[in-house]
Amino acid sequence: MKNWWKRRTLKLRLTLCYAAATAVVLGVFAWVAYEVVEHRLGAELDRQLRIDFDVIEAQLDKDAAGQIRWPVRGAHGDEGYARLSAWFEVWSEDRQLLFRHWPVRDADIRNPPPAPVESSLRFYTLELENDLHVRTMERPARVHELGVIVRLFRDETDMRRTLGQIVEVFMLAAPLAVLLAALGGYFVARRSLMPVAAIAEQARKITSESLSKRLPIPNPHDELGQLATVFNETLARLENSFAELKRFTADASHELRTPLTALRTVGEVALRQGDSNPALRETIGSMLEEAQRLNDLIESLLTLARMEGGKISTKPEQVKLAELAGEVRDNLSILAADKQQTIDVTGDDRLMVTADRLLLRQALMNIAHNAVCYSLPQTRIAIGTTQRDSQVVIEVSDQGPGIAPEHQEKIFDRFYRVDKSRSRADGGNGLGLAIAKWSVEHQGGHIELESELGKGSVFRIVLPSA
Amino acid sequence: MKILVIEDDAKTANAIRNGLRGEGYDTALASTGEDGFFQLNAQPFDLVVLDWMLPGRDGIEVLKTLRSRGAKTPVLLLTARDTIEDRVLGLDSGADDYLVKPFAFAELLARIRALLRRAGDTDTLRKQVGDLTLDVENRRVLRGSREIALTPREFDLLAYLLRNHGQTVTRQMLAKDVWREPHRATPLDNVIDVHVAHLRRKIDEGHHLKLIRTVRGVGFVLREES
Repeated sequence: MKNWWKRRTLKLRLTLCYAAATAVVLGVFAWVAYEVVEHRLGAELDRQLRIDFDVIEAQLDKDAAGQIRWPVRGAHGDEGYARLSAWFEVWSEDRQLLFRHWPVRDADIRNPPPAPVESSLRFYTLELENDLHVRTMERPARVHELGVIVRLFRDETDMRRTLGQIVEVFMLAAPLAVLLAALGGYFVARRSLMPVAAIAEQARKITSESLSKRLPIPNPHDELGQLATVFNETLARLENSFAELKRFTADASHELRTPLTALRTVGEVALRQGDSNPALRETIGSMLEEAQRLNDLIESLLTLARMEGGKISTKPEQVKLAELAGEVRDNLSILAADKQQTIDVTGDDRLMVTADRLLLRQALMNIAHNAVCYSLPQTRIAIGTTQRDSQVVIEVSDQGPGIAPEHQEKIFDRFYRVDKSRSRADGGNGLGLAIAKWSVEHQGGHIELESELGKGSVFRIVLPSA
Repeated sequence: MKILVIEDDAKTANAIRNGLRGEGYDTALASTGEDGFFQLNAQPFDLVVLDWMLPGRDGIEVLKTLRSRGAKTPVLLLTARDTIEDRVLGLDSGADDYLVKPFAFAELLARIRALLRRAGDTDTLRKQVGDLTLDVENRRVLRGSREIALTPREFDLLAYLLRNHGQTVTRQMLAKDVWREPHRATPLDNVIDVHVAHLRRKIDEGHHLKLIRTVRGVGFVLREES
């Protein structure tokens, strides 16, 4: 239940809360109203019983034989008395019924109430047959010095009907009111949460590439405005650290060039100056190789930093995809031939795309180079170019080892390596795919990857055509 | 040939001077723009190797002043700045060539040679090394009397090595000049290695005198003496 509740949207939860609150309030109100009305009606009945008592007590009489008489019965007297629907009994103090006046004949009384228990003033409700409830009052009285107990009745049916109507009204009105409250709650929640949805929508569009964007703040004073403000502040900090990271990469690469220049020049010149000790030459050569690698790494890092810093301008031109693929194949075919791999280029010769030729070529080159490097000998690598709806696709598929799903997302991250020992020996620097990704995305495209362990990988460069 | 090297990093400067002296160039050093300017005024140089980033007057200022006075001395600009804008600014300021740090000394040498040649030296293109002959017009290659079949790429590679005969060429130079690859971050190094290996097999296999050598950590060289 708790989990179910947590999984609902805030909007639904608010709505349900509104409805529940309304239901509780209505319930309490209904209960109080019922109690008050019941009490008032009950009190009114009791008051009438007292009046009845006063009237009847005054009218009771005792004849010579000591029998209780009620002269109003059958007499033509005061209309008011006649109309009084008198319903009473007179009991002696030793619990003998002395006189009875009911609205029905004595023979029809099926279920007469027992004799009074106490000789004091008492009010209570009796149930006679057929659900007929009567309010009853017992009170001691005197009829010509004879001590009696008078018991009076009044029908409660009217009161009960009134109370029943109240219950009916509430039963009908309450669900309607709860429903209205829920609807109102839903609209209020929706209205007040609409800006939240807008913020979420906007925030979703902000990626590491567009950190300079900010959320709109419709009203900086309300809670949502504060939320958006806090969000924007966080974004600003994030943007700063991203910018710093990029600047650092660029600065560091730059600063590393000076010592690296000295390192290479000193080493090379030492080699030239012909110290003939072969071991020494070997050592210097080996160090120069590493310096060269460091050099390549710095170049790649700097390229990437510059790309991300927006410092690379693109020159879009019409590029023939088949031609580009052919070029890449020509460059790499010698590596492939060495491993008895084949590189096949397929696709429509006329397929064109508007793109920066050099960036696109570099991306394709990096991807295809990986395919050649990571595939086993005697396999086939295919570069295909196709049109897909309003996009063009350059697909590089290999029969290599494939990439496990957990690596697929990260493989485009800089320096990410699936198998750390292996790839370094191949001379890659871990930046090729990051550069490829940027190169393609900067031109409005993206790279798709489909791979299965043991079967191979398919990289697709997807660019908008037009 | 007199060369002035204006470079503030002492290690790099000394190494360049030693290397250039080893190649037979008369080399002087200056560690600041002012010093360099002073030396240029004091005596004539055939070529200036100029670092862009210098304390005080930077390389571009020195270069502009030099050119504004009508000096035609070829200038090779060294710099850690390699964006296209930087390149354009350097060349517009009057540099004859532009080399991005960190460079291979072999490439510096090649460029110095090219600049001096452009400045009026003789054509040094050779068509023959030892018993290897290159017929550029018909794109044929002979080792002794045996004709060697080369792929177009191998032929271009060999022609380039021959043009720089006796000098080490780096993979970077090959990538740029033979493969015409402008991006330094494109993975071509092992492509080049395999091509050179194939070429070496075709040229040198079965011959006692090996012409193509690998200079570890630097590049390749075509040379007849052992």
